[in-house]
Order: sequence, then C-alpha cells, then structure tokens
Amino acid sequence: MEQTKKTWIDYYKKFGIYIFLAVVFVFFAIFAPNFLSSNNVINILRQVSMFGIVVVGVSAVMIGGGMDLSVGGQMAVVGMILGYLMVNLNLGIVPAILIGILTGCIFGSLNGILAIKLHMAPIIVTLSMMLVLQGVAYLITGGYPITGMPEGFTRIGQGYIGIIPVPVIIFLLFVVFGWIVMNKTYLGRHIYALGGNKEAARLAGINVDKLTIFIYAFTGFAASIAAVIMVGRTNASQPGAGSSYPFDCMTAACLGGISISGGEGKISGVVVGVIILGILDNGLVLMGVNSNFQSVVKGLILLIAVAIDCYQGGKKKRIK
Amino acid sequence: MINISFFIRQISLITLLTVGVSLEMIGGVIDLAFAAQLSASALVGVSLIAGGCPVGVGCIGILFFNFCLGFLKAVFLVKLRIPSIIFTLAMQVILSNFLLVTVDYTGIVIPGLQESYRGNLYTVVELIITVFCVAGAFFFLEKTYYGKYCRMLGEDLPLARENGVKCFGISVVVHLFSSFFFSISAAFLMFRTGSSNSALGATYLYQILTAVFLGGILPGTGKGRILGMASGALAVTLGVTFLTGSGYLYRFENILEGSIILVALALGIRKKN
Amino acid sequence: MIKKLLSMLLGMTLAATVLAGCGSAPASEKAQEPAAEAGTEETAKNEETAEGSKSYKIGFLAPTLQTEFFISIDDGLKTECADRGWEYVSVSFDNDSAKAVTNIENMVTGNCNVIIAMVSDSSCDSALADAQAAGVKIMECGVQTEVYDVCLNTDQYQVGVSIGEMAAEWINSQLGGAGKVVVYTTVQNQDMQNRGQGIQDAIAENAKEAEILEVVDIGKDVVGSGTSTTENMLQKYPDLNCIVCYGDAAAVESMEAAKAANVDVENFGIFSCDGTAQAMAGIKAGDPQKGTIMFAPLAPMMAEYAERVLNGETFDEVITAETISITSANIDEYYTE
Repeated sequence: MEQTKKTWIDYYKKFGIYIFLAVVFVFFAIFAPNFLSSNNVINILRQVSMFGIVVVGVSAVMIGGGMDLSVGGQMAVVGMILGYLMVNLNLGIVPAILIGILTGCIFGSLNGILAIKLHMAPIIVTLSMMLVLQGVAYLITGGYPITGMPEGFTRIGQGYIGIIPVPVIIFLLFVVFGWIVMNKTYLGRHIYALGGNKEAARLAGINVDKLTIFIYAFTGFAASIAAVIMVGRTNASQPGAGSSYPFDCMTAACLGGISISGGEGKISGVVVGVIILGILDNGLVLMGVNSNFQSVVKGLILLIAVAIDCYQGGKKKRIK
Repeated sequence: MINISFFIRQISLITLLTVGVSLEMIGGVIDLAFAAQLSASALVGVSLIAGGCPVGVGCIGILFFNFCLGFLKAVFLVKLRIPSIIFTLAMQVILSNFLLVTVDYTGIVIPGLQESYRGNLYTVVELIITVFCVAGAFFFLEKTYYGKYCRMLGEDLPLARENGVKCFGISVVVHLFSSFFFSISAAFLMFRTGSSNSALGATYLYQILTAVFLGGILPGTGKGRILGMASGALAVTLGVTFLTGSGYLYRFENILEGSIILVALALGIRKKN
Repeated sequence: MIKKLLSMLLGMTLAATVLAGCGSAPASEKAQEPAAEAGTEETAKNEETAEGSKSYKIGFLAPTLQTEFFISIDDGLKTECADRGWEYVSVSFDNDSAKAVTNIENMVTGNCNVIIAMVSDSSCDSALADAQAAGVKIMECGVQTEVYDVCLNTDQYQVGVSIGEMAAEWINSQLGGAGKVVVYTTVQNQDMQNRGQGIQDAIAENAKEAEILEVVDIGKDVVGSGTSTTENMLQKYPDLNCIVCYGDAAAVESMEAAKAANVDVENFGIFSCDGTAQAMAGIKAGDPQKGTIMFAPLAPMMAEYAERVLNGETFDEVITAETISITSANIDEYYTE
C-alpha cells in the first residue's frame, strides 16, 4: 500500500534546508557583530564562491551515485600548474588558465576511469587519488608556494563588476549552468537515472561508463575553475590548497539534500547548503569562536544530514 | 640490538592497528576515524594519570572510551545505516577538531611516564601482547561463529539481514573487538611518548589503510586472512623504516600510499573477476 | 594470492635491505660502547678515510615540511651538507609525537650521525636518549628538553615581542598611536602561543594608545583562512588599521585581502614573522605588509654546530638564533627583485 501520509522527513526534505537557513541567519544577525550589512553578505558570497563551484561539481557526481574526495588535491595541483606556467614559464594568463582547466578535466576523467575499471566504491578510489595529488602538488616546487602572479590575473579573484565580486559572478554562472544541465537537459535526466539505478539506466540504453567519466570530468573542471579563483584571490599558488574541501563539499551537498545513495537532490538545495556553511563560517568568526569548533559543528551537521537521509531511505525500502 | 628493538616496537603497533582496521573492513566497515580515536583515547588515559590515577586506571579509561566509540559505530552504521566511510570521516573531523579545541597540539606530558616504560623488557612485553592479540584475532575470525557472521556482514549486509542474522549484535562484537586492538595501540603510544595531544597517532591513518589493502583485505568482499594482515604490516613497517632512513619518506609518502591502495584495489578486482 | 605474494616479497626484500644496512653499520656495535668520549671515531659511523676526509650523515626532524619556513631550512641544510660532502635525510612528524619517535628510531637505523630535532616537547626524550646511546649526536632546535648535545633555541616570546615592537613603532610614527589592531595567532604549539603573547604584551607596552580589538585563533595552516579571516575582520571592525600575525603565511593572505578591500595602503600595516619572499616583496612594493621578522639563516648555523659537535665540542649553554626586523627602512639589504 502506498504511503500517502506525509512524515516529518518529507517536510524536512522539502522545507528543512530553508528553515535551517533562516534560523542560522537570524541567530547570527542577533549575536554576531556587524553580520547584517550588505558588505558582509557580499563577503559571505565571495568566500563561498570557490567552494560553491566545487560543490556543484561534487553534487553532480553524488547525484550520479558516486563521490569525489580528490577535489582538494585537484585544486592544489591545478593551482601549482597555473602558478608555474605564469610565473616560472612566463606563459600568458589565458593559455595558462586553459591548460589548468584541461588538467583538471584530465584528473577528473582519470577518477571516472578508475572508478569504472576498478569496480570499487568511488569514494575509496578518489581517496587514493587525493593522496597521490596531494603528494604531486608538493613535488612541483618542493613545497614552496609560487607568488607574484601577472598583473590582471588577480582581478579574477579580487576584482569587481559593479559592486559584485568577480568570483561571485562566476559562481552564479556556474550554478545557472548546473541547474540548466540537471533540470532541462537529457544529460541531467541520465545522471539522475544513473544514480537512481545504474543497472536500469544501462538497460535503458544509457552509456553509463561514458556518463560516469563525463560527470567526474565535470567535477575536475569545477575544481580547476575554483583553483583559478583561489590563486587569483591569494596571489599565490599553494601546494596545500583545498585541504578542507573534500569534507566541506560533502557536508554542503548532504545538507543541501543530495542523497548519499544517489539519484536525488537539487542544485538549488546545494546552493542553500553552501550558503549555510558560508554563514556559519562567517558568523562564528565574527563571534570570535575558535576555528576548530567550526569544524566540529560541520561534522555534526554532516552526521545529522546523512542520518536523516539514510533513515528516510531505509523507511522507503521497508514500506516497499 | 637497539635497531631490532625499534623494529619490534614499530611492527607491534602497526600490526595491532592493521588487524583492528582489517577486522572492521572484513565486517564491511571502512574506518577513517581510528587514528583520531587513538589520539582521543590516549588523551583520556593521560588525563587520568595526570589527574593522579594509577596507570592501570588510565589504561582502563582508554579501553572504556574505545569501547564506547566502537558501540557508537555499530549503532550509526547498522541501526541508522549510514555509509561507514562518511560516518567515520565525520567522526574523525569531530574528534580531531574537538581535541584541538580542548587541548590543542600542546597536549599533556607526564614527566617520567616514558622513562618508566622503557627498555628491552618492555619491548618484549609489547611483542608478547601483540602476538597474543593476533592469535586471538585469528581464533575469532577463523574458529568462531562471530568471525563467520562478520564475513557475511562484510560481503552483503542487506542479505545477511534478510537471512535473519543479528547484524547489530555481530557488528557490536566486531567493533568492540577492534576497539580492544585500538586500546592496546593507544596505550603503547601513551607509554612510548609519555604524553598525548590532538595529533598523537594521527599520521598512522593512511599507513594502516595501505597495510590493510596490501594485505589483501578489500571492502565489500568479507575476505581477509591474518597472514595477509601481518604481511601488510610487515611491508609497511619496513617500507617506512627504509624510506625514512633514505630521506624519501616525506616527499613520496602520500603518493606511495595512494598508489599502493589503487594497485591493491586493481589486483583485488582482477582476482575477483 | 598475487597480492599476498607481492607484499611478502616486498617485505622480504625490504627486510634484507634494512638488515643488511643494520649489519654493516657500526651503530649496533656502537650501542654497547660508552658514549662518554666526545669527538672520537666512535661517533663517526660512516667515516671514510680516503685522504682524511670524513663523511657524516645528518638527519633533520621537522614538525612539518609543508610550510615555507621549514622547507627553507630543509633546503638550506641539504646545500650545507652537499658542500661538506655529507649525506642528508629529512622527515616531518606532523605534530604527532608517536611519528617523531618512530622517525628518530628510523634515522638511527639509517645510520645518521647527527639528528637535528625540532621537536615540540619532551615526549621524544626517550627516543633521543636511545639515539644518544647508539652514538648519535642530538641537536635540539626550537625547544630545550633534557636530552641534547647542543641546543639552538629562540625564545618565541621574544620573537613575538620583536614583532609587536615593530608594529608599535609603526603605529606611533604613522598613525600617531591611534592603532586599531587585530592579532592573528595559532594554538599549533606552545611556541606559537608564546609568540602570540609576546606580540600582545609588546603592543600593550609600546603603543599604549593602540587598542587590540581581538586576538584571533586563525587555526591550522589552511590555505585561504588568512584571506577569509581578514575579510571578516575588516567587516567586523571597519576602523581596523593594523594586523599582526604570528607568521607570514597568514600575513601575506591578509595583505592580498586588504588590497582587494581597497584599504588606505599607507595607513594600514601588517606585521609578521618568517621573512618569506612574498612578505618581503610586499614590503618592497609598499603594500600593506610593513614588516617581518627574519631569522638569521638557521641552516648554516645548524650545519656549523653539527660539525663542531661531531668534532668533539661540548656545549653547556643554549645557543640563541638571532632575529632581524625587516621594514621598508632596510628591505633593500635583504631582498632584491
């Protein structure tokens, strides 16, 4: 018999993220000094822009039933390559960015190929890739950061168009692109189908292998764009960049309603999840809270979000 | 003699951790939190001793703390059905950052503790304890029903559930048994350094995972042998010793660990097919 | 099956290598000999007697080899050892005392003659004592415990005072004393906490009219944390005009964030420590970065004292590493583009 009565989980899935956003916003508006100002809102958006771009990519992978923990390592290597090309080899900004993006796509594709060939949970494969890429990032310059980017490059990370920072504009464009792909194209539907039931998708005629590689390549693309912005923001390529991204991206995606088991979730929810984490980071700093405590809070958020998702998944199976 | 002593101490610790993590992985759990668990439990022990309790009470505190965490893992992973790697990743972040908030990297040092438990006699004691623990793990895995059910859980948890296996009970037993190994390891670390901080043992995370995969234990298969675990531990101990002495460790450690895990996965899949 | 065979083969090969190394090294024999005599042949494990030249092996143990400060020491030691014809190895323990103990043991196994240990506390004393018993000379840097043959140390509180004094001088001369200051510190270890306290005390002492608005724990070395924290601080304190950091890593990110926020560069000062290239470039270019503390080159000093201790000298006093305050007044002496 089909369950018609809505449970609290159904309401949570539909509205919970927005309620949580409102609660967090009001809390910090009351308790964090100087939180409620247009400058601070711009601040928050700028700080989450790089992270948000990567989360869009990771969300696509998760909706497709996979996971990518190597995004931080990809960002670090791409950032180092960017710096090396522009500073050490005096390559122009545009060619360097294009090579960086290509590198990111290659790393992403490699993740997809390994996930397919090894028939192992992508989370383990990408965990291994994360280790390898972290090591490679340090090898490029022996651990030294590369500084002194060309004039004009830093505008990508520090510039404005009107009153809106450039990273925020790139982030918004990415979100719109992601939303269109996932909601208005066959590609998006195929990704949902892949995450919902891989075998059924394959039997329906979807080339699951190619699609998997494409999704991971897209995440690599997202990571490379984020790396470009990060290098622009800090005016330096750091081998340790992106170290906290794997965990934070997963937290934002799960908070935004992306199901761990795949096939569920919306880009709009992910954006809200990203903004919530941005508000938390910003608000806790304004309140003078220890940065490690912020990580504890994020860990608890991830646990609760995944627990609810798994509980709902288990209930659905029991009802069937 | 001193070199052999060093080697024995290192391999004892790595073997205990490898066996503990492997038992969990055979049961279907990929544990990324055990390193943070080491730090936290060692800190519990050190705090008790620094607070005036006898050393034995400190060790019991370590055991109790690890048992609680092991039970928690069983609850979240089997009852709430959260994917193990995500739960343990969250647990690792929460534990390590909570420790940083409370005691930071400075931690607690107990003067005289490491001096009291130093020397070849204690090295031999550590080795004997390790051998007994590994023998116990062998008996558990190969000669008891719990071992068999543990493999069933690791191979196909939903099927085991459908067949009436008491998954939660088995999972609790497996995690408590693994926690016992982590407790012994935490105690060894505590005695070896006479201290604990938020990072004690944290660097073993990927070394031990490498040893586990190298030993032929793969997630989702329910397969694994004590001999494999010991081989993996031996290979990693010797690898770390050799690479440290030749100065290549810090440059290539991450790359080697990641590559070895990938290669081990690839070989494991070929064998499976 | 293949994997088990591979891992056993790998294990046996490595075992043979290590045991061969152990067997040929006099270290295991030296362990029985008293270490009372200094500067004798007993301490030179890898001694070659070709025309009287001596070849030693130096091991460097650092808390991390992922920050510019320690990487530069590592590179400097590599060069110094190469110039002297010595072997050199380096390892990091990533703030994990257990790994530090293991690394010390493995460096003894690897036949190091001197271990330069930048440990954090006394948790490695047993391992260092075992190394001494094996004939290895111990040089402690950055912390003074009970076990060392020579100790190079810098009072981190005084380093913090130097940073604070540099900032206070600028606040008084440029801002007429009206400084609104935020201090970035970290709880990485006791040394950094001491440094942070030194900064605060020096500002309070030397710029009495300045106000320390907040002391921020900027956390571990997470790339981007300096940038986002500075953006948040500028938001929280619109009249903020001085940031004093425990290290250049956070400071240079703050510099970029401050520039992006279009602060008045002349009247906004950032001060820190480490003397990295990016920080000095900022001082030279007239950016918000106004000063940094540079340590006198540590690597040559370490190599020099390693040589002296291997030659039998003993050191009862702790050797202090000098620091240099670098501002726009003397930047040209230490930095060229």
